[in-house]
Amino acid sequence: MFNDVRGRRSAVVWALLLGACVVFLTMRFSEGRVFDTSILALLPDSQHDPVAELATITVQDRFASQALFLVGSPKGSKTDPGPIADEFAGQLRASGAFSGVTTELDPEVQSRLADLYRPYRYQLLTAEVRRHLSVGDPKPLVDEALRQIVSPGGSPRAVSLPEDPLNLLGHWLRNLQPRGGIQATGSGLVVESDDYRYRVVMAAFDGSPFGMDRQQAVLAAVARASAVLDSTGGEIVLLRSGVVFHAAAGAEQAKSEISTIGAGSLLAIALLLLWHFRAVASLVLPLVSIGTGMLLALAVSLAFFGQIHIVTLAFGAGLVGVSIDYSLHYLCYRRQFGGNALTEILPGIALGLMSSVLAYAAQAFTPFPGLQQMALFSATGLVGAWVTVVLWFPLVGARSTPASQATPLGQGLRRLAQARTLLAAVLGVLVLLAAIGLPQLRFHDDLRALSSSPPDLLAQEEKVRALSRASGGAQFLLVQGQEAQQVLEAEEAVRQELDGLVADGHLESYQAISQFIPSVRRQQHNLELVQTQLASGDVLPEFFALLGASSTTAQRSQARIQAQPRGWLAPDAAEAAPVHELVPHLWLGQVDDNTVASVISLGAMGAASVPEQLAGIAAGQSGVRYIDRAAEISGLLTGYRETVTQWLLLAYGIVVLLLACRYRGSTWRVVGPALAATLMTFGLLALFGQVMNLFNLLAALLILGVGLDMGIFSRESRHRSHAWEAITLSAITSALAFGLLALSDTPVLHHFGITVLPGIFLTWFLAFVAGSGSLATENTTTEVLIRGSRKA
Amino acid sequence: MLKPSATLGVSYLASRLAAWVLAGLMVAPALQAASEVSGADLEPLLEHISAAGTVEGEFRQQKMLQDMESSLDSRGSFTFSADSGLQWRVEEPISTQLHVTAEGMVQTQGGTEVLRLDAAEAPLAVTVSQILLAVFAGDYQTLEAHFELAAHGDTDGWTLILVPETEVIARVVQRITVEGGDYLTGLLLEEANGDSTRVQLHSTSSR
Repeated sequence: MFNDVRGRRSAVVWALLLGACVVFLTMRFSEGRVFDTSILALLPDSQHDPVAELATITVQDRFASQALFLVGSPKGSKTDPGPIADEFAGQLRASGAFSGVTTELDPEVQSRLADLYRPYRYQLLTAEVRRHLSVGDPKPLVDEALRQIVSPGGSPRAVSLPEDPLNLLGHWLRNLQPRGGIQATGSGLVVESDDYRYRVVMAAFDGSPFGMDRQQAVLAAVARASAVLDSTGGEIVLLRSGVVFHAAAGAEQAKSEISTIGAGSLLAIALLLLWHFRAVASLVLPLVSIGTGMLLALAVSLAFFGQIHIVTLAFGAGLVGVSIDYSLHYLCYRRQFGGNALTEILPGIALGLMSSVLAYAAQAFTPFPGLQQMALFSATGLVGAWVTVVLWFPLVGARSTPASQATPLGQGLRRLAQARTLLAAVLGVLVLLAAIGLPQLRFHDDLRALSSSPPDLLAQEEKVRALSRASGGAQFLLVQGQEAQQVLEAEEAVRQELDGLVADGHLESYQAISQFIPSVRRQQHNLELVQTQLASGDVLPEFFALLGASSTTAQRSQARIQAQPRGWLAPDAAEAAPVHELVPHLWLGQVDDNTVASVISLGAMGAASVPEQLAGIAAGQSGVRYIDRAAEISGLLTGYRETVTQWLLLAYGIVVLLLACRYRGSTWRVVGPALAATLMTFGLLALFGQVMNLFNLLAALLILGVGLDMGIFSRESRHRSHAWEAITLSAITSALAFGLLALSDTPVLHHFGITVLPGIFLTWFLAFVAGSGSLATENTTTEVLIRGSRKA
Repeated sequence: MLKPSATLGVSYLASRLAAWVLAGLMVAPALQAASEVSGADLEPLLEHISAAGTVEGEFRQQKMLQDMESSLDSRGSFTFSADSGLQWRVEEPISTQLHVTAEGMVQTQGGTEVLRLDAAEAPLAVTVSQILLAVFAGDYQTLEAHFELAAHGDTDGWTLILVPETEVIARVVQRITVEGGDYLTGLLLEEANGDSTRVQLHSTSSR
């Protein structure tokens, strides 16, 4: 097929190309940020709605780039967690891994907030104050103001008594403070459980918690800082919470499993090849082929996508099983017959490559970034491995002579072929079992099922959440309108119903920008109320008289209220900056030419029915939507899974069409084993109670890739023994390379492995039972004769 | 005897709110550093106060608020014991009661509870309560944890000056001056925003 000169030239070109890949990868790896670990990165952007997308990102960034630590000691203990917490915080600060570390409220923001509100104090009313004034019963407000003045101390006032006699501003500011959970004290932020008291350390960092570089910096800083606890004899405990810890744990686990399982399977494959071929070259050649395939796949994928996802890498590990096939066929043929093996096997491996690449290419047209990445990675990996076999293998050891002895594997297979009746019976039982299981097939696409955080970390997270009463940011209300006031008014309408949920204990709390900056309409209404009730009438004169103050003070106070200049606080005004600093995730502002948007963040929910209630509340108010990111992602996974199912069917369709050109009526013999094995695998897994998800289906794509090769090669070689040896070796190596992932604790990898392992075994089993008839009677002599006659 | 701490108390519970509220208003004037007095000097004074078990008496409070031309006056009675804490009963111009214990504070008016600050809701209020009770109980260590202390005089007539050491408290309170002899006799709370409260205590009986 290739003459020597052209072949050598092509081989050199291929070497140069791979050299370029090495240079590119070296540069890229030294830059860092090569691997992505967020499951979310595999999914398409949410619902094609840029506003919801922006809202989600804003809310998630707020939570994702934070870590919360609780440093606590038992309540009875003499050890104060305070100094330890301060030292811990100091070490975090010094590490440089965090952009901010706090142990107390920032007084600057608060003082700016008080400055902001002071001029508007007669138009900022809490719900309670408004209720008293609107029913014309200011007595509770008067009593409270009096109590504060005559009680020793009393609350310091934000403005003087004549300027705000009923302390409206005090009520307003107090109402903005979150209730429960973390409290500010003289010595810092604290939170208490039944038996522990904790000091709170909050830390924020720049960048994504899913970037491995960031994860490592954060984890290292926390590990170093935790050393301060060692000196306390175990009495001080440290609880941590933050997306970054879960992301890091997941990535760490996936990474270590890919490397340990990967190394283990590579070793097993190496031993297998040495045992079968008894030549070091036969070990080196497949490794070179696989290695160049991976090299090309990594380089092309990185160049195209910028980052490689860890799941892609896991999927890529399975590629070893497919890409080694080309080498195995080459080596098995050469071992048996010697000579120019390539010419003989080229039609088979070319067809194998084409069908596999087409199957993977189909994936690239799905709208899911994860699938596209895996498709590109797999297709380029296969091409790389194939080209190496075709261009480089003929240059090495072409003169080797045929082995005179049948291999132990070949003898074993022959004996096995003679027991086909028994095998067929076993297969029949398996088919029956699978048929029973298949109707029980169930799918579950919950994102949480894919989380692999260690239980200890989850327990800490839950404890910190419960104590701090923090929301996870996965659920919120999105409010949209044509301009800011419309958004604020919609918020105020919907908040009435949220208040109902809070009062019933169904919702822990919520936060909305209109709590900080009411609509102009409400401010106007409030001001009218205050002026009607307080600027005239007896309320203030009686109040000041009780305190023994002069009547001129009361008049001055009333005149001040009456003369309040009309001006309204607005969220998009420059002066509102302190509010946005305090709650940066609530106001999205102008998101496009005719849309303004805001977010109402939600605290913990008290009952399973609450999301439904919230959705109902949102549906009843135009411009308001309930966004549940967790449910949305689960929905996306479902969509993803359905898409993969369709593409899987399409891939089979393409393959059948392609193969029909060559095999005509017997195409089913080639495609059948992979298809039947996939169905049987699902049936058997269902029978054993396995619940399926997206990743089982992705594994089915791999079964197709490996299974097709088996079908094609057994056909192309007319089921001769060298082909069965290659196919069997390929099945074992695939099982080793990928099936071992079934042992993984990372759910994604586990689901891959548990499907591929039985899938490939069954494909081989089916193909063998169906096609090994000739193997039972074949011997080396006839084989040589047949070969001789074909040559002639 | 005296009643300084209640003042402190409420204003500290206020300072919990203060986290949000107050900080803006007050630029704390630089304080002259009070000359520090060792525990050895202070403890006899405080022990002297704490020697009395239960103290009852009457008080008058004058509050000077910024922007007001005259003081706002109130009066009432109080009871302190180490066991049951401090009862602070305002009688004029309105009737309201405050009960301070190590667990927090409860305010009632007309028999109805109008304010409760406990450990779960307001840990700072508990701190304040503890400081308050520490003054009555002569608990030097608790006071020293929150204030820089300075004292002069002798057991017949002495003055104790407390300057906050923690920033959150300093944002609300500039200085507290406690006066006494055999009993506490006076208290002056100077707030960081310029308001001040003077309480005169007149103990009528002690057991």
